[in-house]
Amino acid sequence: MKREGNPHIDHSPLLCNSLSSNLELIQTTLGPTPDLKMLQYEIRNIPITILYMADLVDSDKLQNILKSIKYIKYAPPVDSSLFEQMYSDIYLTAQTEKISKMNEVTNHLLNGRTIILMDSINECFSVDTYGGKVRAIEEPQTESLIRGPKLSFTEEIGVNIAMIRKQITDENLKVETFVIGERGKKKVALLYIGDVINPAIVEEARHRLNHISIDAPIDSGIIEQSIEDNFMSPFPQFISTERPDKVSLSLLQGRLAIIPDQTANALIAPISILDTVQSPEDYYERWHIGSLLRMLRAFAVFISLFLPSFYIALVSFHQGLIPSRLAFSIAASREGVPFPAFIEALMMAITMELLREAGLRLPKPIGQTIGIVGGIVIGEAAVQAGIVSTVMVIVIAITAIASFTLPVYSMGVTYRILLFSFIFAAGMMGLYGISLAFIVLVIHIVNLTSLGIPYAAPLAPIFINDWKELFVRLPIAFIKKRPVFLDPVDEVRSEKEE
Amino acid sequence: MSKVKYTDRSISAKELMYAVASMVIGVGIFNLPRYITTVTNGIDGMISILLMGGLVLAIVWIMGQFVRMYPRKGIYEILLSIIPKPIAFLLIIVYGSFFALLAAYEIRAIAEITKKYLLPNTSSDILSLLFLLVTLYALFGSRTALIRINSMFLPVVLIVSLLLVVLNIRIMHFDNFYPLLTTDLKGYGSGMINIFFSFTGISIIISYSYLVNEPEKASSAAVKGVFISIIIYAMVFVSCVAVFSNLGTDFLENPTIELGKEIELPGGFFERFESVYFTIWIMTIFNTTSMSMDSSLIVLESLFKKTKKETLIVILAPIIFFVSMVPIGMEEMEAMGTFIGRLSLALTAIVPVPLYIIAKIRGVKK
Repeated sequence: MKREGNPHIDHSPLLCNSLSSNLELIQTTLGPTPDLKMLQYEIRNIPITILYMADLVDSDKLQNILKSIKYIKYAPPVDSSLFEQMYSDIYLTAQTEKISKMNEVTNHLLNGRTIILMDSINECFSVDTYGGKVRAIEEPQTESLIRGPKLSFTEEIGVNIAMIRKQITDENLKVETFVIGERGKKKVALLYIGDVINPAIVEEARHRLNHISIDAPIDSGIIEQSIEDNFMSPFPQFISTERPDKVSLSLLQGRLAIIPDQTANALIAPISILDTVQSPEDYYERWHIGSLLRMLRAFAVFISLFLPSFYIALVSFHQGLIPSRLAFSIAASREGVPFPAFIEALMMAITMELLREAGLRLPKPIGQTIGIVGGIVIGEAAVQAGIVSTVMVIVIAITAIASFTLPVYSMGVTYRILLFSFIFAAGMMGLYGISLAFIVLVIHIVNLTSLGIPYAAPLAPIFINDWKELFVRLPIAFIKKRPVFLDPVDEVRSEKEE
Repeated sequence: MSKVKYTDRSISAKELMYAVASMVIGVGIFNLPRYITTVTNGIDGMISILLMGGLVLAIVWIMGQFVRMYPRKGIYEILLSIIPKPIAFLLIIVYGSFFALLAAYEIRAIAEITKKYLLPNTSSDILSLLFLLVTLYALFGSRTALIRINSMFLPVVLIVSLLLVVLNIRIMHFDNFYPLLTTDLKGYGSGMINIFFSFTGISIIISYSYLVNEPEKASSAAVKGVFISIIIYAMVFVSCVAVFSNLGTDFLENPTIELGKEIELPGGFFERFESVYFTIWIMTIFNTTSMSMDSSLIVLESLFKKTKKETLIVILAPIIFFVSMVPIGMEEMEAMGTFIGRLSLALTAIVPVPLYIIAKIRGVKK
C-alpha cells in the first residue's frame, strides 16, 4: 500500500563493490553529521562497516546484532559465503532485508535501521533496530474520565496499534499502513474491523490517504486537514482523541481510525454532529448516568450557542417578552451601562476568550492567577465601574462554563466561533436574526459530510433506531444494533439470544 | 464498488412524507382559522376541513401514482409521456411560475408578519431580502440536503404546534362550538375553497418524483404527510374557535399567532409566547419557501438542460424578489394569496385527474 515514489527516486545510484566509495557516498549524501555512527570490523579478511544513527536505534537491538557478528567472527567457516551466513544469522534476531539502492540506504538509516555494508559486495543489509528514547504510556491529560481505562496514546505507532489490539482481539481488526509525506516519510495506519464497517467508507479513506501530498505530517491535524471533506466548515469532520478506548468503541460502531506515527492522537471518522455530546464514559457508567449526562451536554450545547444571543435579542428588541418583574431587575442592572447589549456581550465574550487563551499559555502554577484576575477584576470591577451589567456577566459566565462541558475539544471551539455569529445575528435582527442564523447553520450541517457520510445523520436523514444512543443512552440490552447511519456490514452487536 | 445505502442522491419515502408535511404547512396556517370562520358558524368549519382534507388526500394519492408509474422520471418527462409537447410545455411553464409566485408570496408574508410581531421598525424589504438570501444558501447546496432539512425542522414545529394547543386548554370554552350545523351548503363550499390555500404546494411530490427511491411507497408516504398537516390544521382551528369563539377569530388577522399570546407559561419566564412560537415557525416557512423555489428551479433545469444550476438560481432569485415586492399593503397581499390559492386549486386539484385518466388509458410507454 505504498505511495508511488517520485520519478527522480528511481534514478538513485546503486551501491558499488567498493566499501570505501560506498561509505563516501553515504557521508556526502547525509553531510557532516555527528549522529551517524560507524563501526568497523574485519571478518575473514573482509572489511565490514556497521552504520546507524545514534539515538534513533534501540541499544539492546544493536547489541544483539553485534553479538551475532562476533559469533560469526569466531565460528568455524561454513560453505556459504560470509554475506549469506551473516544474513541468515542476523535474520534470526531481527527483521532484516537486503537493499541495493543508495536512497534506500539513507532512508533506512534515517528511520532508525542499522545498515551493514561489506566490501566487494554491491548489496547491504538493513536490520530493524528502530527505537531510541520514547515516552512511557501515561494517563490521558486532555480527556480524563472518572471511569475507564487510564491509557492514552503515545507517539509510537506500534505501541498505539498494540493498545487497540489488546482491547479488540479480533482477527478482523485490520491495520493498513500508508507512507505519507514527501520529506518526512511517515507511517500512517488505517484501522477498521473488516467485517463490521461498510467497505465504501474504507475505500473512501484509502483513496484520500493515497492522494495526500504534503511535506511531512508532523501531527495528525495535518493529515486531518489534507483529507477532510470541507475545509471551509467550522465543524471538524474527524474527531481527534488521545483515548484508545474511544477509538475501540468507535471501531466497534463501524467507524475507522487513522493513527499516524509520531503523534499522540488518533483520528476517528465518519462522525456526526451528535458526537459532540457523546463521551466514552456514557457507556462505562450505568445507563441512567450516561443518559442524563448526554442530555445535560445537549443542553450545554444549546446554552453555549444561544444564551447570549437570546439575551441580546430580548433586551434590545423584544423587551415585551421578558416577564415584567425580571424586566425590572434586568433594567436595574443595566442602569448606567453606556453600551447597547450587543457591544456589551461582544466585549465580555472576547474578554472570556482572552482569559481562556491566557490560562492555557501560562505555566500551571501561574495559570490560577488568571482565574482570580479574570473572575474578580474583570467581573467585579467592570460591573462596579458601570461598564457592563451584572446580568451580562452572569450570561457570559454560564455560556463559558457550558462550552467547557463538551467532551470533544475541537467541537467546543466550533461552538465558540458560532457563538459570535449568533451574537451578531441577534444584535442586528433580534429573534428573527437568531432564527435565520440557526436555519443557515442547519443548512450547512445537513450539507456537510464526514468521509461521505451526512454529518447531520441520524437526524437528517432520520434513523429512528440510532436515536437510542442520541441524546440518551438506553440500557445496553436495548442497543443491540450498531448505528444504522454508518450502514455497517454486520448490523448486530451480539448474535447471542438472551 | 459498494456504497453506503443512503448516500446516493435520492430520498426515501419517509423523507418524501416529511417534505410533503413541511411543504403544506406554511404561512397559510396563520390565517387558516379566519378563512374558515368568515364563511361558517360555530365549529362547522371542521366539516369543510375534513371534506377538503379527504379531497386533498385523494389528489396526493393520484400524484403518488404518477411517481409509481414513471419511476425516476422528472416532471417534464412525465408530462411529455402523457400529453402532446405543446400542452406539456405550457403546463410546465405555468407550474414553474406558480411555484415562483408561491415562493415570492411566502417571502413577503414572512417579512410582513415579522415586522408586525418581532421587528416593527425594520423595513420589510430588508427582512424579505435576508430571508431570500438564506433560502438561496439552501438552494446552492445539494437538493437531497434541502429535502432532508425538513426532517430536522418538522418534529420541532409539530411539538410547538402541540404546545400551542395544550397550553391553551385552560382558557378554552367549549360552548363556543355551538350552535352546530347552522351553516348553509354554500358556506361549507367556500370554506373548502378557502382552506385549499393551506394545502398549496402538494404537487412537490411530482417535482421530486425523480429522486424518490421507493416509488411504490410514494402514494402512501404523501398521504401520511398530508394527514399530519390535516391534524395540525384541525387542532389549530378547534383551539381558535374554543378560545376566541367563531366571531372573535373572524376579527383577528392572524388568529393562530394570537393563540400564542393567550398562553401563560407556569413560572412566567416568557410573557408573550407568540413571538417565540413565530420564531420557531419561521423554520417551516423556510422549508416551504426553499422547496417552492427549488420546484421552480427544477422546471427551469428541465427546460434549459445545458445551463448550470447556479446560473439559473442567480436568474430566478431577483425575479422572485421583485414579484414579492409588487403587492402594496395587506389588501393586495390577501389578493395575491387568494390568487395563488385559486391557481393552485386549478393546477393541483383539477389537472392531475384527467392526466391520470389519460395515463391509465394509454399505459406506460417503455
